[in-house]
Order: sequence, then C-alpha cells, then structure tokens
Amino acid sequence: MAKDYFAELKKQPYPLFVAPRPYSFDLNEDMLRIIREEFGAEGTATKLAAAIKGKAKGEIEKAGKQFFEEFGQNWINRVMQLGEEYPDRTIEVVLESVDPDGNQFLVFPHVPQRYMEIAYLATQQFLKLPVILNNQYSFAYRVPQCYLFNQIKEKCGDAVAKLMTCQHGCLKALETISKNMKLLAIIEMTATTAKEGYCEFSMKNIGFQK
Amino acid sequence: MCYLCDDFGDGSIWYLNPKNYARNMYKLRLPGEGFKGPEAGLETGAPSGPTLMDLINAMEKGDSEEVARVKHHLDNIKGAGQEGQVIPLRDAEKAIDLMTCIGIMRCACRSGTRAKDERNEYEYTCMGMGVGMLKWERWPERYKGGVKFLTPEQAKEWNREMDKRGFCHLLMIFEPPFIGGFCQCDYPNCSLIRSAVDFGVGALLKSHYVAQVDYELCNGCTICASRCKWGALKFEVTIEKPNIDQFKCYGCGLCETGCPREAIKLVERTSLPGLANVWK
Repeated sequence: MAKDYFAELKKQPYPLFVAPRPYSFDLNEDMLRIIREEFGAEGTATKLAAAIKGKAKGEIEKAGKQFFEEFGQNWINRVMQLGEEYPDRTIEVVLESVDPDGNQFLVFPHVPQRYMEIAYLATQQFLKLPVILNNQYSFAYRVPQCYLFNQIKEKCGDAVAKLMTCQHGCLKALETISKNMKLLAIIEMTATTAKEGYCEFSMKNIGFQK
Repeated sequence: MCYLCDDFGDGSIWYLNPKNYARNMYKLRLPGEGFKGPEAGLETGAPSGPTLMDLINAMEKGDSEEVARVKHHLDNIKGAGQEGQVIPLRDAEKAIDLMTCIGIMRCACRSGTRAKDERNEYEYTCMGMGVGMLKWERWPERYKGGVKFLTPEQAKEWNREMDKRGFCHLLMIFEPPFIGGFCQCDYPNCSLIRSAVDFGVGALLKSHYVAQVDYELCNGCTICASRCKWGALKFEVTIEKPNIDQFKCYGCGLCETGCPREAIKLVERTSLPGLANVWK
C-alpha cells in the first residue's frame, strides 16, 4: 500500500450514490395480490372441505396431508416464480453481497426467508412475519393466529382443524425451497396452533449441495 | 446478570441469545401509512426528551432540580441506539456468529465529534447488523460512502483489528430487544462513553466482566494505561505497576488484549460480591 494512500483517498469526493431502478425495498403489491387470489386461505379451506367431504376421521387425515402437500408445493413454486419476476432492492442487496471468493454469503437465511415472507404476507392477515431466528445457521419463524387454520375451523369444523393437516403445507413449502435451492437443511415444526396457539417452523442450514 | 439479561436473555446473557438478532425482512403497510420510528431515519427514531446538552446547561446554571430530572431521563432511555452494553473481544466473537447482514460503515459519532470523514472500507469504524442493513440506501446521508458487507469470519478479523487499534466494543439495542449496532468506540469520540465517563449518565451498561492485574506477571510496561477509556486504570509510580479501580472498570478488556505478558485478566463481575450489581 502506498504511503499516502489514505491522504489520496481523502482528496476524492464521496462516491456519488445513484439509486438503482426499480428502487423499492418493499414487496411488490401486484405479486402479493396474484398469490392471494390463487392461494388465499378462504379458497384453500373451501377446496379442503370438498376434498374431505364424506370421509372418516382416519381418511381425513390422509386426504388432508395429501391435499396440503400438493398445495404447499404449488404455493411455494408460484411464490418462487413470482419472487424472481418481481425483485426488490432488499433482495438485490442480499445477492450483490459476495465474499472475496465470489460466494453470495447472505443467501442463507435471507433468500428462503424472503420466499416464506412473501408466501405468508400474501395469504395471512398479519403485516409482518414474526421471525425468531435468522443467522448463518438457522432460520425460524412463528405463525400467530393462522388465518388458514381459522378458515379450516370455520369451513370444516374444529375437529378437522385440530388434526393440523395444514402443517404439511408449510413443511412442504420449506422442503421445496431447500430442494429448489439445492440447500441441505433440517426442517422442523416446533410448535402447533392446536397445542401452543401458534405454529413455529425452523430450517437449519447444513450446507449447499455441490 | 444485568437487567438486559433479565428482560431479553431467556436465561442466558442477552447478547448471546440469537433471538435478539432476528427480524423480518419485509412488512406490509396499511393504506396511507408511512415510515415510522427508526425506519423513517435515525434522527426520527431517536428518543425524545432532554439531551446531554440540556444537562450541561442545567449544570452551568447550577439548577440542581433540573440536573436531577435530566439525569434521571438520560439514565432510563430505552432503545433507539442509546441503550447498550460494553462487551469484551471474547464475547464479541461469539456474538458475531449470531449476527446476519453485518456491514461496516462510517461512524456517525466521529463525524459529529471530530468532523472525521470515513469515506471507505479502510476508514470505517462502525458496524451494523441485521436485515435493516439491507436497506441502508434509504438513508444515503447517514451512510455516506456506502456499506461494506462482511462474512462473520471477516467481521471477526475486522473486530480483532479494531481491538488492536484500541477501540472497545459496544452492542446497541435499536428497538428492544433487537440488537442493531455494534459500535467500535473510544474516548472522547463516542457520545455514550463520554456521557458515562464525563457526566456519569446514560443507558450504557458495564460488561459482565471486570479487569484484574496479576502483579507477579506485570512488568510495568504501561501499555494498558494508554488503552483504558474509563479512567479506571492508572499507572502508579510508587509501585511502577498499574492499579485498576474496579468500580470504574467497564470490563471492555482492552487492557487485557493489549498486555504483552497476559498479566491482566477479565473475571466475571458476579464473582465479586461488591461489584455483582454495579452495571453503571
């Protein structure tokens, strides 16, 4: 390093900040509207009611699981597709941050986090997702007063809602994200709305597939 | 345990609780709702009420009632980057592992107290973390010169370098319990340290440690004396060795990391009954 390196730098003006376009740090509202129309809680609960109509308890659990696994996969695939089509400056900053070897070191947890935030903010009634962990090892969040659970309760009854078949939708969504991103992750559900009054999910990063 | 541990520690030290670093990336706003609090800018997020300047004015006037009122206010400020704790390098490294979106930037304190421009990553002395950092471009005036994002390993290396240069480490709460700032501070440039040392006010807590000298190992080189920010460590000419006033010691550990003979050690504050509850 030249002896007068810092002195030379100080003679230079600040780098002129030019705002990139499009310049929004928030989620695109059109994207959220599309997801809400296609995967909204009211419509999903109505479809579930039709899928389990006339079935015995054991069969409801099986049919519900199947229904929500399919739902979760379609839901998150659509979120990922639209998430790519409607970028924002927040995620661009995540992707632009690279270490000296060129690795995008903020991809975990922030890319999965963004997809899950899009997915829930489009289909739930809360204004922000309560994230309880986000660091290089873990991403975990809580779903308080789940609107989908409440809709299932309303349209299919309390007993069906308490079976918590809807958990397979959220778990499948997390699994699909890790599969699509080639991320090796341990996915767990650590609390359920039926027992604790809220759902809690976690994704532990154990690396990326090569 | 300090009161921050009681409030936000979940049974452990508050800054080693990973939940306190977690936050959502996005939120939806109700129609017509604008930005609020720290999101609207650091200035609008700052706590309202009397400032250090008001305290100085009251002291100058000799108005003891006003002095007491302002001191009480300044001692009890919550959040908004005015509340935090000193942590030593060893804990800083553990905390960095729990952080995400770690970015280094220009120090707002030094730009005010010293008119010091920090224009690039070689000069930055401030570290922020959390998803809010992803949106720094919203406040180009605050982040003049930009933000350089670091991996946790790079951040640890940078932090060690700052420690070597004589900066101590402060973790700052933004919106309780969210930890959003990791300041690298020195006296008299850091406004929190200055408030604490010169005026005995502020919401800055001492660390969970205090420094102790091993007089057998110490050779009286005086390096430690130049690193103390708190007026706690003095070189005593009579014994030709340093003496630490543990009531004044903030446990930043700069004397420990600077000692070439490992003659200064940090011990747990709670292991010393007289200091166990001395946090300010």
